[in-house]
Amino acid sequence: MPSEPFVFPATNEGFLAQYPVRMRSRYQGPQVEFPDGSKQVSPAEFRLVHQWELVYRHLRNEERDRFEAFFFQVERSGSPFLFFDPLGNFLLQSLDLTHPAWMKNGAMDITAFTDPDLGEAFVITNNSFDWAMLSQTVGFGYNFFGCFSVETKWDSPVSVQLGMTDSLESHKRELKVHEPRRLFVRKRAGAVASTNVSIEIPPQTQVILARPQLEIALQPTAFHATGARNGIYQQATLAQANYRWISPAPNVHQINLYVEGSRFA
Amino acid sequence: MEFPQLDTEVTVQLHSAKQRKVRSRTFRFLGDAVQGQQLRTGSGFRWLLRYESLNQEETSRLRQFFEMTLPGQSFSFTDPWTGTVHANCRLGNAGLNLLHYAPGSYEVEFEVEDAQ
Repeated sequence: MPSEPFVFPATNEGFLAQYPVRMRSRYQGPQVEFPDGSKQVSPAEFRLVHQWELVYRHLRNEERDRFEAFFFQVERSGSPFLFFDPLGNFLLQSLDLTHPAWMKNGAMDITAFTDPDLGEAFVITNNSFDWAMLSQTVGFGYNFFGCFSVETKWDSPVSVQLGMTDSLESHKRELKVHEPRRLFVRKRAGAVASTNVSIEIPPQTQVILARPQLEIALQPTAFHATGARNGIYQQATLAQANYRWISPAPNVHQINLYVEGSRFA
Repeated sequence: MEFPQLDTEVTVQLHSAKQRKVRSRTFRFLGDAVQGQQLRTGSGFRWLLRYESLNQEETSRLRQFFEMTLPGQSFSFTDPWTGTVHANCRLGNAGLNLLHYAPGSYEVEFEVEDAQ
């Protein structure tokens, strides 16, 4: 077994995937279907299995070699690898800001409610005279571009600071909030295993926040709505036995890769 | 869990399909007599839901619904063909297919069946 986990490679620009990305999800587990059509299942034993079909076009020689080396490395060792769902949310918890996965620094009140613009949302009130911070540390690194974002609104302009920090570099962005929108901060994650994402609320301020997410920035200025499930797969495998590339021109290559990742439902 | 709606407040798009699956068993006796038996007592309806040109939010809503609904867990689904509410539906075995083909453009496909 290797001491460091194998990590799925990225392109020279730090992108994990190119358009189009196709994902198939299914539940896998024991179930008994009776002749009358009824089913007996044990949800605790089910796994949610995702399979991604990743198509890369216009790869340069060194990028093609990188993917090829990865394929043979994984095939030879039979080891699983670390894979980041290009359509997924890397936060450990994004539905509930009161969950212990969110570290609180400073005095603040967090109340859940349903907002007419944002849906399920949270009012965060910082009554103190210091900044208050909500943060989460996730295993996100390996030179991808990351995008941490949160939906928010407030009637009068207030400032919220979003941050992405790892042991090498800190990137913070102060943003004015005055209408319902998604705020974001982007950063190329360093070659370290974890990144801290933070939301900082100024003193004596109240803000409304919803659906925070951390994702791979597929497009420099675009973010997806990624949903709530954590998109980091520690034990992903290749779902293909053969590897081949097509070169329509010198230094231009196309490959297809199939990756499978699962976790208990 | 509530079945998600698109931004237009509809639950399905064109290109979806409704099917009815009726199971039966046939006994053939000596002398060529035949006896049929219908096995499924419920409605047997299933809906193959196909969505095109979805935006990020809509896709996320459908994906989240699929991932939060465990196999065997039932939910209420309104048949768009008839308006009838089927209170005991579940996800079909086919799983969920998601295609992200351009910035902000998605296709999603999955199956719902009436477990009644």
